[in-house]
Amino acid sequence: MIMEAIGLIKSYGEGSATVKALDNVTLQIEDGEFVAIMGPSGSGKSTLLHLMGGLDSITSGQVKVNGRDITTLKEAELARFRRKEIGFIFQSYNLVSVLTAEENVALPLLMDGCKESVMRENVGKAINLVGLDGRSHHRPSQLSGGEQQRVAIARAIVNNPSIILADEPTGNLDSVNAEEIMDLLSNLRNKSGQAIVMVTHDPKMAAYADRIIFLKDGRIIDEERLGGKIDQKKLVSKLKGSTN
Amino acid sequence: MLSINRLSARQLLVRKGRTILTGLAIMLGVASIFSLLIIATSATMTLERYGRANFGFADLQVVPDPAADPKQVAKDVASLTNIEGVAFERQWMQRGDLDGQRFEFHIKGIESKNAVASRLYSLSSGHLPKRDGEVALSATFAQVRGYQIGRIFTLPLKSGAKKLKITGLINDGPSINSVIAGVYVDMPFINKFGPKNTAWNPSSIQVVLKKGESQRSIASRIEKMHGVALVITADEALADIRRSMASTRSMFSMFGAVALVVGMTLIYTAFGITAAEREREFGLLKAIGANSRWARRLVYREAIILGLLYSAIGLLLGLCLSFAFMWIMNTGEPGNIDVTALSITSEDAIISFLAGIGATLFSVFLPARKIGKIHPLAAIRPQPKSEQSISKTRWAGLLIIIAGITMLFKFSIANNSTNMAAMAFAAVFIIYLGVAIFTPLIIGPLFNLLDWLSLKRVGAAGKLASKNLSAQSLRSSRMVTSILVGISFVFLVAFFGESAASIGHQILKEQAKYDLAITSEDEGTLPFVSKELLRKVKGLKEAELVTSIRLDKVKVTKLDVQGREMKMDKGFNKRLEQNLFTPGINAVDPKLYPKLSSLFFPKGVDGNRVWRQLHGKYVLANRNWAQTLRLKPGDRVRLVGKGGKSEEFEILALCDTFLVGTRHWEVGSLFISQENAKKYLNLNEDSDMLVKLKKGSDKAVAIAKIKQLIKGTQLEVKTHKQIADMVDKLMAEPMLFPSLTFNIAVLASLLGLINTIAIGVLERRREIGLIKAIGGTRGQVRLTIALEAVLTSLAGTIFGVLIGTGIAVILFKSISAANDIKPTFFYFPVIVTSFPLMATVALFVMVIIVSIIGALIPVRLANKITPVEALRFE
Repeated sequence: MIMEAIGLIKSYGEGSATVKALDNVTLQIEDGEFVAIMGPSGSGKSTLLHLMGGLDSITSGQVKVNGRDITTLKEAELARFRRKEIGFIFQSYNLVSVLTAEENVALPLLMDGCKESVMRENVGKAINLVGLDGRSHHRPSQLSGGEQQRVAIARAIVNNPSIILADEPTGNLDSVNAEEIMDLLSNLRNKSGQAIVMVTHDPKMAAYADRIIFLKDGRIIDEERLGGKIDQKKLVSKLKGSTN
Repeated sequence: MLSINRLSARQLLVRKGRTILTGLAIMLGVASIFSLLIIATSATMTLERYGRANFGFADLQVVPDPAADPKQVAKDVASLTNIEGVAFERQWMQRGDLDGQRFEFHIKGIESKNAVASRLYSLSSGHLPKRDGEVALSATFAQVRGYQIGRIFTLPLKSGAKKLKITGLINDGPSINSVIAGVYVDMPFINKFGPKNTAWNPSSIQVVLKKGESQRSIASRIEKMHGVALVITADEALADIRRSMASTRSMFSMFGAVALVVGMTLIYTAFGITAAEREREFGLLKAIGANSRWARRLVYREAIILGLLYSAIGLLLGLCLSFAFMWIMNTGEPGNIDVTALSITSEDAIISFLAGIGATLFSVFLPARKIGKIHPLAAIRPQPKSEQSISKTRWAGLLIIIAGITMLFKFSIANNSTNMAAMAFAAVFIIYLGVAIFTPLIIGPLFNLLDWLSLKRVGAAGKLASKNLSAQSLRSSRMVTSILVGISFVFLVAFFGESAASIGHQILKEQAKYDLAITSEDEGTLPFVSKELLRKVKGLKEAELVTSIRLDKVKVTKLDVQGREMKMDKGFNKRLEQNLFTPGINAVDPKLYPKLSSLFFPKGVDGNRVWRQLHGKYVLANRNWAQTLRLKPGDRVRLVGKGGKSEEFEILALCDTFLVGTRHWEVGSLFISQENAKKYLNLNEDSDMLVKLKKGSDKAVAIAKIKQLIKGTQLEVKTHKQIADMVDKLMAEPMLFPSLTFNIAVLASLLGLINTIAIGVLERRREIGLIKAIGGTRGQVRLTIALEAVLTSLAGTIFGVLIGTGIAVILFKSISAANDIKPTFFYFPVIVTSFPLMATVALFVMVIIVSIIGALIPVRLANKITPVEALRFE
């Protein structure tokens, strides 16, 4: 098991105005597993992803990555944890506009104080893996949405993290590009064996996962193991169920 | 209900931090202009009051020739018709301490028996001193010090304190907060205790005309009389003061304008960023029906509110600054610019206030236009932005720089005095305009270069900082330009100051062959070194070499400059003319003097040969004096000494010198052998001594012995270091105003830098959040922002120093090229340009410290950004 969330609670506000974004969520992510989290807007999907990635503070509960409780980490340790163990992919790519594709990918290594030769090698590999050779010196504004998301993926994998957290990675893309990105993520998982946790609305994209977790009102309401078979109808009906 | 004003005010309130930082730029600009105008006006008023007090009720002041008998001149003038009366006055200035405070006493010997004399002085009470031992004091000075009629006033003279009975108080102009005190004594007192050498204190003859007589026409008649050097009418004296102060006022206004221009760059940058940041908001306003004009109006309203508020605060700060300036000026020794009380005029306040509002409105013109063009769709989605490209037309900036340099070099030398300063300033501003246009072309590559360098050294923070700066090259270059303007002006002043000080020190170093100088620091109070005293000092067992110098004034009556008669411009400042044509002469021993002190000869002149030849009918001329009169070696001058004795001499060589004491360079305009001075000019009174001590002798003991010998005289003994310190002090004061003002400009530009970086942080919240999300530490984010601040200010400082050096060198060359006159920095000839290394280091340290401190605000903002924010925008 690469990651474990135990009794996660995240609430905002105080007293009677308290809103529970996550309510006692417990889940495990296995090594190399591809998990999709689905649920309606406001169900707590993104909040769960933030807590798993150590981006936000937990009201109560634990998140363990490789057996280490990240809720006890101090800010600098958390930053190091995110740099080493987690690869983030966002819906709107979140690339640094002033850096080229290559430099965006190099950013986590640079922050880690990596040697230039190692950095060049790793960045080259990551860019090659996402199929962006020849576009590496372009700025984000000179790349298409699909290409930008490939850069974001390359950045997420460049440090060879244990787990990749993706928040609606295809949300801003057309269907052709979306499928390409999902194929890419899937292939990467198959090649490097990294676990992927992906938040998505789209059953087609969720179908790439090994397991789907359904969230509603901050709670896990269902879980589906796909086992390599894709039953979209079932997925859609489950999703509808969680939406209703 | 909501109004456009309320909306504008609310926008400013919502962005408090930025509003304050932008406002500070306006405030500092207005404060600089206002305080400098106050000081200029106050100095003019003070001088006018002194001028009026100096004239009293007289219509004319006649200055006799140093060679003539002043009493005879007074008699001749009095014999003219149209004249009601003539009074004789001898003034003598001396510094002394009263209860630990240093005062400059203007001791005036008056003839109280003369009926006109009593009418010349405006007595507030009592009567003029009628006999030796009586004194009348300035009414304001007496009031401040608590002196009353009938009491005893102790005048601290060098020769010992003198007790005088106060008989009257005279309204002679200002002395509140001042260190200048008017002391009126009867003529016998001056004859008894005053300076022996009257050439330095030319008696002035006050003339009262009959009613209805024209001052100028009578003055012209008197000017033609024998023994008259100069006639000044009361009106001309006041006009002279106003004219000379007008250029000071223009110069001060220009200093203030520099601060305001820097402020304008910042206001422009701040509003430019506002336009980018509030694109969505303005898009929304457009979407719901606002037109471009309305959007622009909103921005102008914000600018007006900001301008009104901060210009008003700027006026208050300006008042405080001028009080501070006055306090600095009135602390310690009397200075070059005397301000006894601040004159705060509504005119100065209105000019400064309008300058602040005008500058603000002018600065927002382009941002407002940009805001007017925002598309309504910006309300719904961010508008696609093309890559920030730098237009190739910016190369035109280079042409503008070249035009500015040409103007600086060519036109500044074609004009003289005030025009030259104005043209030089205009040329400098043209250069800055070119720099502002051109800088974006080099800023991008510069920061890219830094990026390449920092990638290996500073890591992620260095990379991000340099990338951010190069990507935003327009914004970065605006910041760099605003900093470089302030810095280059600070540097320009430092450069000239350093060059002048270096020559002062260089000459002093050359002169430092002596260990002690026996002299007097008081201007115009030449002491008398008797043969007996000289013999006693020579007889000291510690003394190895002793020489005396004879300082006196001569009149230059005939100037044959390469066969041409020298003609002075009619409008030439009369006092300057007086100084030029009655220069100070130094009679020295050509054998001993070079062993104790030396002059600074131009390259190619053999000093030893010059000293050997000085026994002949030659003089050495101070280069500055000679060049002002267009005199060259080989030219002949006729000198008139005491009692009208005169002789023609040839200028053997030009030299540079800085004399002992604080006497102005005019004092050392000519050097002649003591032998010739006595033989041809009847000058035989020595005034200064230079002493070289024997090796291993105790300097303290020698000083003590000399002090004992000179007790009761006007003389003082000074070490070489004391004189060098005096040079530094003299250099510091003229540099005070420009330095302070330009430092304010630098401060304003650094404030703008903080503002810009803070806004940049707010703009990049998402990016900073992302950096943190993917593992960037707080420290890395902090370092990125601090580096942005430091790199920008360092770039501004480097360019500022380079441009400041360039302008200083061009100015130096241009002034030098004009009529062979070397520039002077107040009393110091700037012969060599000298790079102010220490000032540069101090400037860099200051800039780095201030930018790091300044970066704390944006760093705090960045610290508050949590990684979740990177995702909250999803």
